[in-house]
Amino acid sequence: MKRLAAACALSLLFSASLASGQVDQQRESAADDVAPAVAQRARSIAEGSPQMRNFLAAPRTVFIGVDVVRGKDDDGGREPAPLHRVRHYRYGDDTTVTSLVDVRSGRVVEQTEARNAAVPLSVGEFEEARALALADRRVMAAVGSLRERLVVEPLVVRTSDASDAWHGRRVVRLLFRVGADYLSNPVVHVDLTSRQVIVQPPHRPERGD
Amino acid sequence: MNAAFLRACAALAGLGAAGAAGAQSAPCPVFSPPTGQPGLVEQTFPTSPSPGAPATAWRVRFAHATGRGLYITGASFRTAPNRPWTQILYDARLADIFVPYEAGSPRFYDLTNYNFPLVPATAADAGPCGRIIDGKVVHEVTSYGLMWKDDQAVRHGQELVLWATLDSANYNYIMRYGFRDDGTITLRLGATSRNLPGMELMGHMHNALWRIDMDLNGAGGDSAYTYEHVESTSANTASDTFTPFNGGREGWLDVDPTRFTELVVRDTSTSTSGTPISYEFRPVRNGAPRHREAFAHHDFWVTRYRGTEMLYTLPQHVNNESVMNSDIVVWHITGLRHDPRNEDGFFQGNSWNGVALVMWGGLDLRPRNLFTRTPLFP
Repeated sequence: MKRLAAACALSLLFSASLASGQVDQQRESAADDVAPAVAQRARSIAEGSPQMRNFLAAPRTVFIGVDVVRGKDDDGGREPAPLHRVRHYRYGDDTTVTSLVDVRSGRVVEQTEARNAAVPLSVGEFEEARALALADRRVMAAVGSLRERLVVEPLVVRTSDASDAWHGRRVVRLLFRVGADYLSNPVVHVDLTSRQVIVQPPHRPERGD
Repeated sequence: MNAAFLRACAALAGLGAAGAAGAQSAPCPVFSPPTGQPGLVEQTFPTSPSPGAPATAWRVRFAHATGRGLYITGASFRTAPNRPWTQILYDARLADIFVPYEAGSPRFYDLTNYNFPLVPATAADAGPCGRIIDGKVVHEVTSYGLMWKDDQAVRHGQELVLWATLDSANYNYIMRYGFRDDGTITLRLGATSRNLPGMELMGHMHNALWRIDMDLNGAGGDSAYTYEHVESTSANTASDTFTPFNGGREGWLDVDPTRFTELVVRDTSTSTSGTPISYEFRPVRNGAPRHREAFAHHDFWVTRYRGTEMLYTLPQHVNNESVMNSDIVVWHITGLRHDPRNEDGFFQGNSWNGVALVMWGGLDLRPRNLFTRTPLFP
C-alpha cells in the first residue's frame, strides 16, 4: 500500500510539474510593442510635417512615444496594416500633438492638438523628475541611508479641474521602494513644468473601524 | 498513466466510484490544440451529456503592449462544429484606469500614466491547470461552476480565460477576459497589491474604463437598444420596454437597478430560428461611480466606431451620429471602491506592511438568440 501511495504521489507530482506554469514552447509573441526602427521612422514622418516643425520650435517640447493604432476603416472594413500614433508634448501651454502616420507611405494621415490631454510620461521626463527629487536635500534627509537601495517609480497626477493649482501642469508623484516595501514618508511630487520638488508629510488619519 | 492505475490511486484517496470516474478524465479541463499563430487561441467545449463530443467553440485573438496591458483584438464564436464562425468582438480593452482619492487629490490614470509593463507570469500564477503564453499571459480553461441543474442531471460550465497583470507602480491590475461555452464574455479588472505610500488608509476608487468594439456578425449592421423591466409596488403586473438607445443616436445610459436596465447590441442578422442575434451588457459591480470628470457622469456611452477614438475622453466622441444599423463602440465604467480596513496592514518603521486584497469588477456580455437551440442542454 505504501508503495502504491508513493507511486501515486510521484505520478501526481510529475503531472503537476508538466501542467503548471509551462511556458508555451512556441513562445507565441502577441506583443504590440513597436520595434525601435519603426518607432523612429514614425517619429521622423510626424516631425517632418510643417505643423510639427512649428510646434517643435517652441521651447520644452518633448517626444512622448509611438504606439500602434489598429487598422479598421471607419466604414467597418479592415485595412491590411495598422497606423502609428506619435505624440509630442509642449510644456508652455500644456498641449499635446497627436500625429497619426502611415509608415508605409511616409504620410501624416491626421494631426491634432489638444490641451490637458491624457498623455503618458516619457522615460526622459521620468528621469528628469527622479534627478530633481534625488538632488533635493529634504528628500535626501527623509530617505537617509536607504538612498542607495531606492527604486523610484512614477505616477502622473492629472486634473481636469481648472481651479486646481496643478491644472495645466506636468506633475509627477514619485514613489520610493526598498525591496518589496514602499516608504510612507516622504510624499514627493515633482512639478516638471516649474521644475520644483514638493515634499509633503504622509497622510496619517486615525484608523477607522 | 493507465486507467487502472488511476482508479487504484483514487480508491486509495477514498474517492470511491465517482472519484475514480473523475480520475479517468483529465484532472483539468482540456486545452484545444495550439493554433500555431501568434496571439491566437481556440477552445472547443464538449457537449452535454456526452463529454468529449465537440459543441461550441471560441476563437480569440489577443495582444499586449507596454502602457496598454492585455487586450482582445478579436473574438468569434461557433455554435456547433458544422456551423461557421460568428464574429462577436473586434476589440475589447481597458481604455484607462481612473483612480481618484477621497481628499480630491491625487487623481491618477493608472493605465495611460506611464509605460507600465505587464508582470512576468509565474508557475504560481498559472496554477495546476494553466499555461503561460509569451511569458506574460496566463491561459486557462476552467470551470465557472454550475451552468444548470435538473434534479440528478447537472452541467458544469467551462470558460477559456486569458489574464495578465499590469505593474502600475504600487498597484497591480489583473486584466481578465473570459469566454464561456454558452457564448458569454466576461470582462474583469482586479485591483490589488500595495496602497498608495503616504496615503495608505485613504479611501479611493479604481475605475475600470472599458472600450468594447462590438462587431456582431461583422462590423456593420449593429444597433444599440435599451431594455428595461419594471415591477410595481402598487400592482401585480410588470412591464418590459425595448427601445432604440437614446433615440438611435450617440449618447449615454445610466443603469437603474429598480428598472433592470440593460444595454443591448443587436445585429441585423438572425439565428436560424429567425430571431435577431444580440448581446446584453450586464455590469458586475458594487455601486455606480460618479466623479467630477465628465466621462464619469454616466454608466454607459455608445458611439459610432472611429479608429482614432481610443481614449475614454467622453463625451468628446459624442456628436449625434447614428448608432442604429452601424459599426458601434460601447464604453462602460466599473468602480472598484477601496476603503482600507484595519486588518489590511500596519506601519512598520517608515513602511506600510500590508497588501490590498484583490477587488473585482467588470461586466458580462450575454448572448440572446445566438443559438437556434442550445447544445449545452440534453
